[in-house]
Amino acid sequence: MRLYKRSLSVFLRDRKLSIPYYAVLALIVAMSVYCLGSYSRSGDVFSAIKWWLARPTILIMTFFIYCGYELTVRMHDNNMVEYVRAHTRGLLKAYSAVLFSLLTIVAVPSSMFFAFFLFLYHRVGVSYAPFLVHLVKLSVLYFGLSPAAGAMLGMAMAARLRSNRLAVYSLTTGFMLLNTTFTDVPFRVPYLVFNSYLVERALYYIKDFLTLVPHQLGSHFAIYPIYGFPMEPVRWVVAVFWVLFPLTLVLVECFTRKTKRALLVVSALLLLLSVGLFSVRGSVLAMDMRNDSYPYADPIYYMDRPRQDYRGYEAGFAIEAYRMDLTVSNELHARVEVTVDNPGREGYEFTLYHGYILESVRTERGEIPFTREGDYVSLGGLNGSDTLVFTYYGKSPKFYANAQAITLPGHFAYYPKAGRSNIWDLDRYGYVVNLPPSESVYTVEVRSGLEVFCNLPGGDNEFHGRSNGLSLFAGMYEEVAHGIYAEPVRRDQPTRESILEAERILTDAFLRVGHPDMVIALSDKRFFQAPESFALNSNTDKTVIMSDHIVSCYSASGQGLANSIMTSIVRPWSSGGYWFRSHYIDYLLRGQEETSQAAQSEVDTSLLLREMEEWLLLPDPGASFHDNMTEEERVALATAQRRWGELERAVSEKAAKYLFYESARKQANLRFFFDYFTSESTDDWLPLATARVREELGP
Amino acid sequence: MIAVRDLSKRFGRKEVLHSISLSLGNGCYGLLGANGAGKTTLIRCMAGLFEPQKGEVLYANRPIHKLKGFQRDLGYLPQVFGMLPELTLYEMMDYMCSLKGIPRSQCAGEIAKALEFVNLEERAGERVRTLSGGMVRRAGIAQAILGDPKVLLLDEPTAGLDPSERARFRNGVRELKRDRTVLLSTHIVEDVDACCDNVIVIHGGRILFSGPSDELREVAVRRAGHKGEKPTLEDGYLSLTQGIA
Repeated sequence: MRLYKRSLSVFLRDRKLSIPYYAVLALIVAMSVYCLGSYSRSGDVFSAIKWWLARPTILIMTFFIYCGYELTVRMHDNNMVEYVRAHTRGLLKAYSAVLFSLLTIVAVPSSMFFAFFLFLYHRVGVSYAPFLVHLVKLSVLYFGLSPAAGAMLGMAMAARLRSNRLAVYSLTTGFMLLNTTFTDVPFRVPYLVFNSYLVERALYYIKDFLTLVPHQLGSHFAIYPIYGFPMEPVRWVVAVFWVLFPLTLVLVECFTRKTKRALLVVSALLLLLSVGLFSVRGSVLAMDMRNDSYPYADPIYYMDRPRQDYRGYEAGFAIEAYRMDLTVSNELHARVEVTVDNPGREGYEFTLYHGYILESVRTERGEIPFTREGDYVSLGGLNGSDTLVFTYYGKSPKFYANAQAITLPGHFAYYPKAGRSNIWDLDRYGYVVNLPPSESVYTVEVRSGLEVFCNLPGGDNEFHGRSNGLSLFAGMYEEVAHGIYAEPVRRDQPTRESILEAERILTDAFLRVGHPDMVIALSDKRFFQAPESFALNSNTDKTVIMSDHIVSCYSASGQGLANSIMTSIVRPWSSGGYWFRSHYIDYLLRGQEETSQAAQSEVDTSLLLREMEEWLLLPDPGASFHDNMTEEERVALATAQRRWGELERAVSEKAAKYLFYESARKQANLRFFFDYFTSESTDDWLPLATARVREELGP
Repeated sequence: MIAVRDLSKRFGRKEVLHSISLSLGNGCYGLLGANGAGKTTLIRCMAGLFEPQKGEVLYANRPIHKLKGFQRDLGYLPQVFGMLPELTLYEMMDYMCSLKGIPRSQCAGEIAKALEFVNLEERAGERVRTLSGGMVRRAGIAQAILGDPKVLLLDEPTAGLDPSERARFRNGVRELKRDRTVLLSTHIVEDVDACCDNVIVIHGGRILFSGPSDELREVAVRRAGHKGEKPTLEDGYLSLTQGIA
């Protein structure tokens, strides 16, 4: 105790340590105030914590490396180690005193963060225990263990490197940079320059093991309420390792003979164990620029592979029933039994996302051979059996399933789906909504520490029912109203009223375009609000309607939800026409209401026709690009691109306004383009629109 | 009380101590040797800081690494000594008391006694950073004698002390040596001459001489044919080491 007090006195009396420490405490108070202010303005608690508290954590941690090192190295700087060691366990006592002093020093800001998070929880006013638990865990992992690990690293460097400050601060700088996104630039070089994906993976593997603050300084990734801050079990393993491993290195210095050797063995075992556990980390969110990063992994994967188009592919069989035993631990471990309706075929094709490693396919007569080719599994005949059991494990970077959260939407092939179907649509840049035409019977059991929410009836993570897609969500997720599932901490939660309003708007729209058959009884379906990450880097699955449920990212208002659902329906196969389609949906859903923009002035139809014709005749500027362009050609290209952009915006807006708002035949136009947008036509919209305008205006 | 038996110490390929054997009882022993002779290595081995490749150090006839009480009975002043500059001298002594396991109730008395021994009692409340180099050295001697150790290993204790403090130190050692073993490593022969009854001369990692001071003086007479005044310890030491050279 006396040694501890003296050691603490040294820290507090040394201005090089105490003044920065008080400054850091003041900074934490300021950061907390800014965080609170940010939350008050935006209402987004995770964004506020991310900006003001989580991202700067590495700087606080680096400061504690400095504190740990400078407090410990004093014994070396002042030549005390030799005579301290001459006492019974002298060095152990002295280092223990430093250790407890450092823990005290770390405990003060950690307690401040902890208290602030409790305050923030009450301020947010969401009475949701998992959110409170998340904040407590956050304060322990990010603001307790991380600075403690920093202090331990500082101590270890003092014990091993002694007064070699150049080495110590070089290592500290390297360590700090590895905990930021600034190392993304050199780490991406192997892939971008040498196309070496393996080297990039290896570099990031090392970086990940040294990453103590999972949400790194410089990261532009958002934190989604269902997941919160990354705190998967592997993060705790890494944090505990970086506390204990340096500690063993310090202890090695304190002992001699057998104990020293034993401690070296312990530290080596600790390293092996942690690397072992780290290597089976499974599904984690990689939030940086690497190829495996969750928004980029699939676009890059599919871009690098030969293009395959399975539109219109017929499976030749359907799956009548699924019996699923899913275990969600570090990743998804699945045993899926499927019953097919056509057991006499010579061969079967299934789609299963390539991230899931298929271990075996069995019938009741035993294992059967299969061929795996990316997302597709090919089998021979079933020898009279009608059931197949797929055993697989793995992960998807985007649709994760781990100990922290589960987001497995029914349109994604995380379980075998009949036939071959694309997972990613290169043209539309998004996930293909992969739903079978008929429903199947699902019997599902999910083993997970989380409460899982599913579109099927059931409870206690066991579900049974019929659908054309099985969606599973867990994490900071809740049934916020009857049949409505959402992230309780999210601001824009869906309500029964907003869903009913969307239903009314859509019904009106479908009736106006002469498609009463397409009316969707939204209020009869379970509604799952998907995290906004679903919309990240994917244009196609913001809203997916399945036979018994809807999965949608944006659902705060009825108008917004209706717009999102209509966008998922009105989806031409032809490329381009984004603005025109967007305006079309706007006019379709607003009905007779006048928009302020629409009311401003009438469209100059003759000018519109001239612009339409000009655009029709304008060559695609992208086609004229080549590597050896002269300066004149470049200027001409830039001018053409600018004009192309101007015409695209102007013509889309004016054509939509004329055809769907001002025209006497606006209802017919709405119907015509609804049929066009929902058909499989690959025709461009512009000639169609030009012809409609010209037809109306006459010769 | 403390003995060294067949002790060899090597750093890499360089053997610094060669099969050294010594036996030290109560009294003051002067360890003389040139720079690099192996004095500090021998003292560090005796303090249990270095593990020898061969041989052992015995205290009360038992190897020190098997004896839990040895370090409690040891007072050690290293060649280079420093303290935490942010603490006061008293706090630093208290820190050392705590390391030595001296009960808190006895600390104040022990500290006062030790600081008085080195004439620093009036500086007890001052920060270490304000003390001169000589004062720090004296504080080092003070920390070594905290807890009344039975064995005192002092490596260059008078380096940096002014003449009056050296004289005071010599007087103090005369007091200390009565009921304990004091090993005083130095290349200042006068200090050994003034305090020690026994001398150990080490050269090139080997013991050249170990015995009473008078015997070393006799060496001067025998080897160099010293005539005239009574030979000093330095004469004996020089005649011994020059002969080797």
